[in-house]
Parts: sequence; structure tokens; C-alpha cells
Amino acid sequence: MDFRQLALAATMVVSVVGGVGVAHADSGLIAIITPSHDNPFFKAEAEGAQARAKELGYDTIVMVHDDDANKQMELFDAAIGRHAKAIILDNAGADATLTAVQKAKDAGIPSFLIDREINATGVAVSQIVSNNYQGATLGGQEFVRLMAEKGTYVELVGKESDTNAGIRSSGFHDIIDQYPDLKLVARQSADWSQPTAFQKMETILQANPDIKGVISGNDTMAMGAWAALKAAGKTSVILVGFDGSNDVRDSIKEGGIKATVLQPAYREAQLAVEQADKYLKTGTTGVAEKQLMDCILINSQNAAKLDTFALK
Amino acid sequence: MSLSLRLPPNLPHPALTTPGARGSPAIRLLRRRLFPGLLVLALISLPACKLVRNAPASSADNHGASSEAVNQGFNAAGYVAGIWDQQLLPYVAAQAVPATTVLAALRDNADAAGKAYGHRANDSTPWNFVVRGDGVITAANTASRAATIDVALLPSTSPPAALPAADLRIQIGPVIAGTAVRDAADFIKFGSVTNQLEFAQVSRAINDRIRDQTLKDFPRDNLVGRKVSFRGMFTAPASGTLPVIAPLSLGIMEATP
Repeated sequence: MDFRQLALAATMVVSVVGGVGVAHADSGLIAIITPSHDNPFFKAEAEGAQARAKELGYDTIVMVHDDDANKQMELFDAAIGRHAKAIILDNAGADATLTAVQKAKDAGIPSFLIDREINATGVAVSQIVSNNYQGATLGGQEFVRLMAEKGTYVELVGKESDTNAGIRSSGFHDIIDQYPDLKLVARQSADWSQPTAFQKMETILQANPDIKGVISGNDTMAMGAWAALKAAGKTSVILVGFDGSNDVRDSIKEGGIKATVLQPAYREAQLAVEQADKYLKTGTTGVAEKQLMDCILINSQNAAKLDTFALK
Repeated sequence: MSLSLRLPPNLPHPALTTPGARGSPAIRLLRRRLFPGLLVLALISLPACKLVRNAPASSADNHGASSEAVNQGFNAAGYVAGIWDQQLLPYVAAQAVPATTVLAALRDNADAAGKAYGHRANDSTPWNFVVRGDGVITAANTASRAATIDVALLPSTSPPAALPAADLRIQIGPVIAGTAVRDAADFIKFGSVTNQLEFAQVSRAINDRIRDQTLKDFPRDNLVGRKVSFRGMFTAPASGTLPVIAPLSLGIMEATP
């Protein structure tokens, strides 16, 4: 690693537990790499992994790649340079990630993937991903029920380069498209972003002032859309999100957004650390590499039990 | 309308961002320092490309399955057509446990019931069950496109005087929801397909085939009070809710008055 990379890695470190000069735990270092913590979902992942790693006696280094594959590679170089024992990763793109994970593997560092899968097996040790399709069909079914199987609606799609955006949209449509009286009047990407969703929703409302429902590929876009609907005085519009964020939970409790789908992000991250620990100690995780975790529908009946991407 | 709303058959593939984003170290450095916009442009333009994968030369394509689920070169309908008669139906016949047995076990201890009779890929997913049984239809919801019948199981052949309480719900379509069939079939594994999109397509293709084959001749009218015989799968229900079965066979027992 050259000086540039070192400096870069240092600037990307969000937090280092047991940093320089502090006595280290015996088990070694676990690197936790996720997209930006601007989205509380990824923050919950990092926190879940970090908490479990500390419980199991590891030091942790938490880094963010901002969905940039180059940056992710540099973070991997940093983890390799610091002789991390394992890497917990929510990756920056399915196939671009393969090289980074392979490089770590060649350096003797196993990777444990969460949330987003890669299209290859045998490179990472574990791939623990939310069953986005199953979750999207739950959201789709609830949306259909709330819409009483008819009416006009809008779909907000996530970042097109992210596999999960396509999977969720596919899950929504596999349910909704079976109801011919549900009419899609606009379908736009808002890049997983709250401000973008706000702007897109405002524009869509100008052309389609009488929509009955909105289905959103994630909760940050749902929050943006809800702000636009509120500003337009259209709080009777049925809105369903995806992720299970505390923001949307609070909106559901107030009777705003109607439902979301919880991805067990916190638990997934913890499970990845547990499997890393077992792998480091025994040479095997004892489970299949690719593991799907089911999502859970959140609506007014169970919203109160939701906290930080976990049901209490 | 529904078809035109589907995703394009070839989703933008992240693999294609790799060549544009890599290059030699010198180029990487140059690009990062001087032309960050280039990378952005490359990323924006790339989704127009397609990853072309060879479609599997599957003899199962000839089984008359719909091509709706074909995506990214993976022919889910063809795969499902190929396993339907050879593997899936024999599996259901061999694995099906009387629904009365499974429901009693679930009421007693859900996890123990799962261990005794259930199927699941890992500890983080719910149990799925393969069941068979006879029952009397106590209610029919055919107003919804996700139509269902509620069924009270009949351990004996003598029909009750009054309609008993329903024990389970059977989906009669045209909308068939859930992934119970795929997830109860141990031989269909997540690890054996490329990603969860393909895994999802398998489930969708199964549900389509249930709609088009299993339920093709099932009546929609005057259902309450009639006796049915069924085999199918369900995912462990939330407590206090009826199990919802995706049928692999379902028929009215016409001989019963």
C-alpha cells in the first residue's frame, strides 16, 4: 500500500474501535465495509456487525465505500494492509466486487457478504442477503389490499445499477400486475434518494393529480414522496415503502405512510460476524454460502415493535 | 398493460461497470485526479449495454410453458416445466403429511412441528410444509383475484351437520402468492441459481403453472359446503392466522352429496 492509499484509507475510516495506542483484544481485527451511513439502513448494519464483533472479542474498523467500486477496492487494500482477520461487506456492485473479494481471499482474508449478493460462489465464505423478492411480494400484496385491487398508482424505483432495485420492482409487479384494475401511471427512478423522490413526486403529481397510491423501492424515497404528497395536501394517497426504517415506522404510527417491509439488517450483520468467528475458529461456518433471510411486513398492527431494523 | 410494465428482459448488469472502472493504476490515478466525471459518464452510459448469456438448451422448453419468466437468459418456466412431472409432483406425493397431523403439531409447538414435518433452507427462514387432506369448504372469497377457499378438515368421511370452523385456506387464483412450493421442495436450492432474481423467477413460474394447470378446471361458483381433496404446500403462518396453501392438486369430491 502506498502513501496515497494509506492517507485515503485513513480519511475513510468512520470510526476505529480500540485505535492506535489502545490495548487490542486478542481475536484480531474485523473490517466492516458498507455503503454510506446517510441511509440509516447501512448504519444499522455497521452497528450490528460492530456490536457483535466487540462481544466476540474483535477489534473493528468501520469504513464506507459510497457505492464506488474503486473506493471499495482501496478499502479492501487497507483491510489487507492492516491484516484484518475477516471482512464484513455490503458491496458496491455485484460483479465489480468480485475482484476485491478475490484479492482479499488470495491474501488469506475471508469475506462475509450481507444485504447484496454477488453473482459468483466460492469466493466469499458467506452471502447473507435479505429475500428482497419475497419482501417485495409482501409489500405488493399489502399495497393491493390497501388499494382494494383497483386504482391508479405510481412506482418509485431505486438506483438502476443496484440489483436490489430490479428485484424489488420485479416482486412488486409480479403481484400488482395480476390485478388489471390497478393502473401504473408513472414509474421513475429516484436513486434511493429522499430529495430526488421529493422532486420526482412533485412533478408526477402535476401530471397526475388524482393518483390513489404510490409504491416505493425503499423507505428513504418513501419519505421524500410522502413529504411531496403532504405539501400537495394529498395525505389520502396510499404509500408503501421498503426497508423498515424508524422514520417510516413513525409515519405509519401517525397514520401517514401505510406500510413497509422490514429487512432484518441488524440481525444479518450480526449473523455475518458470528459466521466469521466460527469460520476463523473452526475453518467452516457449517452453513451454505448463500443464505436468504425473509423480510417481514410492517403495518399499523406491528409498527410499534419495530426499532433500528429489528422487531422487538 | 401488465406485460408492458414488466422490467426489460435484460437488466443493466453491474459486471459491465468493471472494465470501465478499472484500467491500469496510472489510468486509475489520472482518472481519479483529473477526470472523475469520465467515470460518472461511463457508469451512466453503461446500463444501455446488455449481458448476453446463452439460453440453456433445455428440452423442457417444449412442455408448453409460458415464456413470461424468461429473463437474463435464465428460463425459469422451462426449468419448472422440466421438474414438474418428473420431480415436483412425485416429491409432493411422497412427502405429503396429513394436514390434521401437521396443524395439530403446529398448535402444540411450532418449532417442534417444523423439525418433525417441515422443510427450510436455513435457521433464518420460516418452516414450509407439504400436506394433504380432505375437507369441506366453509367460505369462498372469489371477489378478489387472489381468490381463496376456507376449508375445515374432515378426519372422518361423514359430513358434519353444520359447517365447522375453517382449519386452513387454499389459494384458487388466478393470483397465487408466496414461495411455499419452491421453499418446501428441498431439491430446489438458492445456491444452484445465479442470484435471488432467478430464484424468484422459479417461484413465480411454479405459481403460474399452478394457476394454469392445477387450478385450470377448478370451479368458482357454489363452492361452500362442497368437499375437496388437496395436496399442497404452505409456509408456517403467523400465530392466530390460517395456513394458506398453494395447491399442487385440488379437486371437488363430487361423489359426496
